[in-house]
Amino acid sequence: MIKNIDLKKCTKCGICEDVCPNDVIRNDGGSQPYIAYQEDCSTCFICEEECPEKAIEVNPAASKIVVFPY
Amino acid sequence: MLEIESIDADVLVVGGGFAGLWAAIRAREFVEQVVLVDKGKVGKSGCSTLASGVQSCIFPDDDLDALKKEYVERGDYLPDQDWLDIFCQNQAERLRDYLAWGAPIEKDPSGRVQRAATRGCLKASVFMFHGRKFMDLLSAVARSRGIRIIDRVAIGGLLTSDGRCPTTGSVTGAMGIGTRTGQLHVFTARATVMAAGGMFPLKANRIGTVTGDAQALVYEAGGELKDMEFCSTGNINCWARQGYAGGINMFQGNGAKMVNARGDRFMPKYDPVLAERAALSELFMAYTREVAEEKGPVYFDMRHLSSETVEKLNKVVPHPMKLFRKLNIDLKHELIENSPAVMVGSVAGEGGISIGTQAQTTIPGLYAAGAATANPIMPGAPSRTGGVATASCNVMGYVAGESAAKWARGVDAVKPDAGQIAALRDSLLGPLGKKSGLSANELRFQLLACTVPYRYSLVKHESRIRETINNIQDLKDQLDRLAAPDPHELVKVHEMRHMLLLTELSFWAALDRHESRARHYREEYPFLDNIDWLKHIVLKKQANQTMLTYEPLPFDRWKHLPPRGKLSYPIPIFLTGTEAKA
Repeated sequence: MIKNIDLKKCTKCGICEDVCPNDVIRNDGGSQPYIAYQEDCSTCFICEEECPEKAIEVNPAASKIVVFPY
Repeated sequence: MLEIESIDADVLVVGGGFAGLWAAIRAREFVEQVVLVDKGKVGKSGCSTLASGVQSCIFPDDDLDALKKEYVERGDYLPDQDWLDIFCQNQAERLRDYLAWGAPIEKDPSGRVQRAATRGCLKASVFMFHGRKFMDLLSAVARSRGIRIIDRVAIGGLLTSDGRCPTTGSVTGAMGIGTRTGQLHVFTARATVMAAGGMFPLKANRIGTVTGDAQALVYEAGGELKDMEFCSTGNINCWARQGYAGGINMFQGNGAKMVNARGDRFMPKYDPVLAERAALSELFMAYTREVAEEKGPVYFDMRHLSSETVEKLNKVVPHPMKLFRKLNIDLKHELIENSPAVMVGSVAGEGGISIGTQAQTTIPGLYAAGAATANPIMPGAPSRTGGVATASCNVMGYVAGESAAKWARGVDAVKPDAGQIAALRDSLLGPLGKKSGLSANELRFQLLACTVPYRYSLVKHESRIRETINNIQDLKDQLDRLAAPDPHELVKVHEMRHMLLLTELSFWAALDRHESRARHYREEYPFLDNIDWLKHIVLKKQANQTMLTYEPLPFDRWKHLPPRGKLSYPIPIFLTGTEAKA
């Protein structure tokens, strides 16, 4: 899941807030982005891929692996 | 409180994946105002965005009859053969459109579409498309055609001509909540297409918002749900016990081997013909058997794949490939543990909204397409044969868009009933403002805990079904405690309501179906019963109860007929009582 947004690299372009499918990232109308709903992150990597400054790090591990059928 | 925003449409499409976008694109060829509303961000959310890179590859001069026969057999005789005719023709046309638009599809060196083998079948083939770029293209096409796309609005109720749900009239629009703003949106539409995807409670792999909203709303409006007992999905996998990703279809189709903890390839034992390319349901039952016999866990062995194949996988299924890199898994030298994220739910229409051959529901003005439906092309297990899940969404969307547009042209818009709006506003916004209590995510984990273990999700038995229904009813009692301090959390409350409703309905249907078929397995009835069970289970809301009826499969009209009698389920598993041990 999303781990960190490096604000030193961030240019406040707004892309991450715009693209997150699960509304995890907010920027309160153009200000610095922050992880608002980390638990709703579904580890899709879209924010990491689309950030032009490579400022976002997404940990591949899901937060809570609950779903083991076995 | 924010003012209600009103939007008019000739055709309203709810959901922006393959089905919804095709519905909008096709409808727009007939009518002016097509509005597509999505709970997330079109082109970035939902199952279509993560789709494991394959769609049915059909050309008009293929042996379509042989293909249909195979689909019918692989679908355990559930497929609607009228829809199969539509599917074969329509998907060939959609492929033609994709090629004309320059969609990123794998081609062979001569420039022709590369046809690949896939799972669960011998005749059917698939084409491979490049993950996210494909959805970027489709959504760009929709935008370029003047379709108005509204992101981040969660539809929470349907509007009806008589102001009631269940309705005896028609659907005249919908109401939604801005997922960030909390603003109410009232859509007045002459026709509505529900294409908001499947249902499952797992937040992984680009899917946190596929929560059965369309199915729940159609059910509440008095429409029919069908095949709910087959709601079992596991297309997403947990790799290395750490991260979730799909793409298994591509791995199967490109030569991945599966071994158990002893290093033995076990699939040839269960499916001598297809081995690792077995249909998904067979795969899961095989895994389950290996685990039940204490030979688990299961690993994927892809060490032998060529670098060209790996390069192709990187393009077609970038998400799982990226996951492996991030987890420092070296595909060339390591095995990867695989655990399917089996859940009660639907990802491709395993069960859902019942539609006819024009994608119509039983309610006038209301259509449905895609994973939100009881997929008529491959009921009960759309992911068994690779490529059908995504392709059928194209086709259903296209058909629904056309049908909805033609209906819209023949009716006037109906102003929303003020009483219905007020009642919906109260029920949608009601939970807002609660700050303490249970969170929707906590309730969701509890739902997963009581439905995921394979003795509930894969290997059903009356006693365990009843146990699960009781558990779900207990969870439903907790809905009133859900905290919704802001619009984001408010949407989650309603998602939980939808998921609990649909999961419970799924288990009631599973209780009723006394046989095994496709993704529905009852260990007390380890056989396909082609004497008594060539029929669908249909569920419909009546007053405050659920009415269960049957819809027989019309083999008197169809060409490909099932074998008579009872057939053994391919990989039976017995956990209870004195039956032979698994």
